[in-house]
Amino acid sequence: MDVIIRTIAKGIFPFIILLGFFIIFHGHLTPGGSFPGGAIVASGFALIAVAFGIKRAEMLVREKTLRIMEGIVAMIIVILLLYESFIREYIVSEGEMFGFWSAPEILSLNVVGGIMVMCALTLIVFLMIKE
Amino acid sequence: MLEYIISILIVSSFLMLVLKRDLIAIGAILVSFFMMVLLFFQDQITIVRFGGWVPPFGIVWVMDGLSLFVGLLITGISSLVAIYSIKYIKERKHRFYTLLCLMTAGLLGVCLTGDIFNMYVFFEILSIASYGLVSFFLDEDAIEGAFKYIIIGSFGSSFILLGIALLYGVTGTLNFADLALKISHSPVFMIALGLIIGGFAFKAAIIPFHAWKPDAIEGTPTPIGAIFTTSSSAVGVYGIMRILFVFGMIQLNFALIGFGVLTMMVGALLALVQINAKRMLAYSSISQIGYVVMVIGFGTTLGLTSGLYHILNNALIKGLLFMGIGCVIYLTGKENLDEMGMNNTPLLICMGIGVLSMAGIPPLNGFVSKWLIFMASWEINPILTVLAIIASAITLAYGFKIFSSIFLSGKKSSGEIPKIMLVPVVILTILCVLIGIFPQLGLNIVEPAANALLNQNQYITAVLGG
Amino acid sequence: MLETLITSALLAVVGIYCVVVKKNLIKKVIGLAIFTNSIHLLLISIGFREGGIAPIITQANLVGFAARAVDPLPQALVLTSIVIQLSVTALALSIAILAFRHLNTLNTDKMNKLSG
Repeated sequence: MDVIIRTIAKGIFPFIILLGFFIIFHGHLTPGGSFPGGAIVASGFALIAVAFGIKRAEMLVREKTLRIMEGIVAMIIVILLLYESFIREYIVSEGEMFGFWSAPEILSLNVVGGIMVMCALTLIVFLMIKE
Repeated sequence: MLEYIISILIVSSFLMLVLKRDLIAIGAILVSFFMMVLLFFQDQITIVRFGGWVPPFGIVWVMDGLSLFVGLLITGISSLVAIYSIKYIKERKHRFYTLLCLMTAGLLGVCLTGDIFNMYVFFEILSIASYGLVSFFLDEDAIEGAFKYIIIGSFGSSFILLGIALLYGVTGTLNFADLALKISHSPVFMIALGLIIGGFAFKAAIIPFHAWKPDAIEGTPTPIGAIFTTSSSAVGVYGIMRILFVFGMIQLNFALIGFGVLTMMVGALLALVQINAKRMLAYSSISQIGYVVMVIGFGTTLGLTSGLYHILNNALIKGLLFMGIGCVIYLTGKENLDEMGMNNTPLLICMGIGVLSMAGIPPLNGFVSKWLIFMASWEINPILTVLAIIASAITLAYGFKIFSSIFLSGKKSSGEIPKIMLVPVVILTILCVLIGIFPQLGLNIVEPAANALLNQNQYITAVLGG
Repeated sequence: MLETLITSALLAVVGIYCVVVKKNLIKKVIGLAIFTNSIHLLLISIGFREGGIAPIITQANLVGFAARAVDPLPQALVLTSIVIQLSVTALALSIAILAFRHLNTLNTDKMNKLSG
């Protein structure tokens, strides 16, 4: 890719990642959440992969790391879901309404889900580019 | 307990991605089977409310007699397939077991859930795992079958989603028990029901929607073919039955009878002309599902009992035949009936029993359910009985074709079948003979399911809490 | 409301046409995506309410929230369905890549080894 795309991609990449994680972390307060946020983060990685080539993108995050992370995170999601459905009834979460810590259960699910979406989508993009 | 069964399967399938130990997946599937058996001895409807939400609002899982019956069948077949595949699959085993676990979880989820959108989600989990398994060998046949399946299969699931959208627009609820209370007879409602049943008919491979099944089965590994012809069809039929049950439409239904007879006859005739063994068995299973759809259309107690019994027997027989054929393919590497040929006494006995049972020869289990089907159809119209007997005769013809071309061709084979691959085949053979001699064994499982299907009020009060 | 219904019906027709008539594997996948998206549009429009507000509780709209907000459930359903659609599309495209590698063509007429 030419120099314009590379320069812009280099400049904009941190902000894409930041926006993605902002959306993930505010999923319980504003629209968005794990899937849109994770998709935005993955699109940041996809931008790097398109602009600089797949090798440079794999210096940021390797394919094997993504695979293992996805497996682990998926297990955490199922365990969190079990937690949500059984233990939650006995724990009253205290938090200010509309505050950042108002719903720790939803926040934790959003974060874990967001990471999973990020891993999965980045993995798909990487594998498709490699073909 | 229901939620643990599915969580064990899903967690272990993701654990497989990280740890790559086949024993995890096999253990998980076996544990899920034993947990289902434990649930069998509880004589009531089990309900799980997620997050403590009350049913019309939260997601709820319900297990009545019908779900229990289908769940028992699914986990049983899956555990036999998991044991069988230890030797059959030679490379990339951990991928295979990951997908097998996911597929079992999807199949189980479809029959345990009490929420129609949740059902769609599990249906898609099942479908995606099946697409992966069909393309597992990555050779030309597998890719072609998988592509056909993925297009037709997702097209069918889209119809389910469309039906759910319309249903939600009319009634404003997604819970089965709540839907049952809000039946309306507006045209949109009927179109929605038709779309959902059509979507499940794609999965059950009822004749106008069957095109994917033989292709997919020809490409897939043989043990997965056993799951496709047993559990997958059972889940498709389960979906149709559940929708009819929820909307109180278990009654005389000429559309179902018509499609059933068409599926039964055309499936049997198409099976007769096949030269590929897996394809022939695929068409045979389509034909057997035709019997089931036909008798569900009767809406009588005897009809439902015989239909569910036939699902059970079809699962045992098709599992046995597919795994037996898998042993032959494992040794000879050929799939065409003309080229297959071997001599092995235990396998010969097992396959012989399977073929005779499929055709409905008296002391075996196929006869029991077919006899019930003949009786049920005699009550409605004797012509249906005659048609069913004709289809049964065709079944004997192609069954004998399989048997003779494998064992009577006089070809010798080198090598020996691994013992662990013979174990599931022998277990299924013993079950076939046992159920044939003591039909009450099968009826003990089938009758609660048929009673649950006829008792809609019990379901609604159990879920919504009367 | 009526506009979205008509649009989704038109999109569904385009999608079904594309899946059934086109011979190219990639075009079939695109048709499938269009068809599913038309259903998503229908689902979203079912939950729509004329002049409604976004279904997020804030301090400003606590009073009379339920009477004014649009139905959030279809939106959640659509989000779930989009994720499913994404994975099916990714799988279908990767199978199309493999098919191209085996057959050197994307034409479905050449995929006729399994038939009968």
